[in-house]
Amino acid sequence: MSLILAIVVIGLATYLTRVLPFLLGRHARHLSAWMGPEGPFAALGPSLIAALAALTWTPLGARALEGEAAAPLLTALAATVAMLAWRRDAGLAVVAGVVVYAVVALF
Amino acid sequence: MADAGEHPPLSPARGEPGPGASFGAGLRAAAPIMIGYAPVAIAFGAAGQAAGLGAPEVIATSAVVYSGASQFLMLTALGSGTALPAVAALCIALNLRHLLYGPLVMARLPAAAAVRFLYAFSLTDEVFASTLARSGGGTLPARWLLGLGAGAYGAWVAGTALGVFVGDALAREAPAAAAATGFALPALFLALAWLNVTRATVAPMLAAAAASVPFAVVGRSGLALLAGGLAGVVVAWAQRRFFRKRRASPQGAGEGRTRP
Repeated sequence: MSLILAIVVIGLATYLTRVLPFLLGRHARHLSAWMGPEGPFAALGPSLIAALAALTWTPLGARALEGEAAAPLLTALAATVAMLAWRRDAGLAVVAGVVVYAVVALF
Repeated sequence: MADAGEHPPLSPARGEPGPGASFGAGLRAAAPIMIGYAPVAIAFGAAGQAAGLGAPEVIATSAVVYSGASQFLMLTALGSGTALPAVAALCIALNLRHLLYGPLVMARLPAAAAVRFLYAFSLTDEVFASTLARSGGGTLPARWLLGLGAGAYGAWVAGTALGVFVGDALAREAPAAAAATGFALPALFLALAWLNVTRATVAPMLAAAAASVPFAVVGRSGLALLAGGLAGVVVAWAQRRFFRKRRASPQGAGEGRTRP
């Protein structure tokens, strides 16, 4: 299956989650019961994000344990966490991590 | 994309657009979102390029999907060979929170279906938060809403295109810096996880991370995400059940303690 088709399918699926309440009208309040803070799927989004974090950090951690690019990784991790603690902004945290990684990797 | 909680709520008197608020006023209201989106969009463009996608494909992903977390998930999962239906299902699961946004802002939107459907396309965490912050009592003007959505969307797609260009130039001129762009994706998920931690979510998120690691070690991305999502939902359910029991029988909560 082509990548363009994948993009279209995932785009439609994403739009569906955004537009469904408007299509359902007043029946949309039932969605809140399932997805709200007391609903059974309230933790699904944060859990998937945590799983994604673990998924992307596992190979980096394994390579760092073998000594490959450990210094840039650890300093970039520290910079990312420091920026998060300071500004609570995902964009700035990513930029800080990438910039520090690049600078340390150069030396 | 950035945490919805970063935008301070505006009082209706100061922040709510008047009935004649223009498309331009909506664009100006989107400025904080645009500033927040730019670095993440640039990182996505560079990461897509580093993952071997062509420039049109990377930019089309931002233009069509328009969801930061889903797009990075897509890069991760498709890159490791996860089947398309599984990737689509994971993206839907990740975006289920959007189902909450519509009911909360619906009463403030114009009744025209075309406006609602267009606005829905732009309904990211940050656009939702900005709309809610301006919801004082009356209906928000359609032009202002569309300006708000268009500003955020334009910044996301333009930032991605810039990231593709910068990523390509970096790969040619500075390979060390290009390698650093590979750090963008783990950094983004770490940041999103950090911003999602609350007292209610910390245990489910830890369970999700722990459940996904064994599958991540053997390179099974799809299974890692499914296991993580399932573990998180189960732990959240157990957590609610435990706390409800404690609230229902306060005497039992202190059992085993030797002092108050």
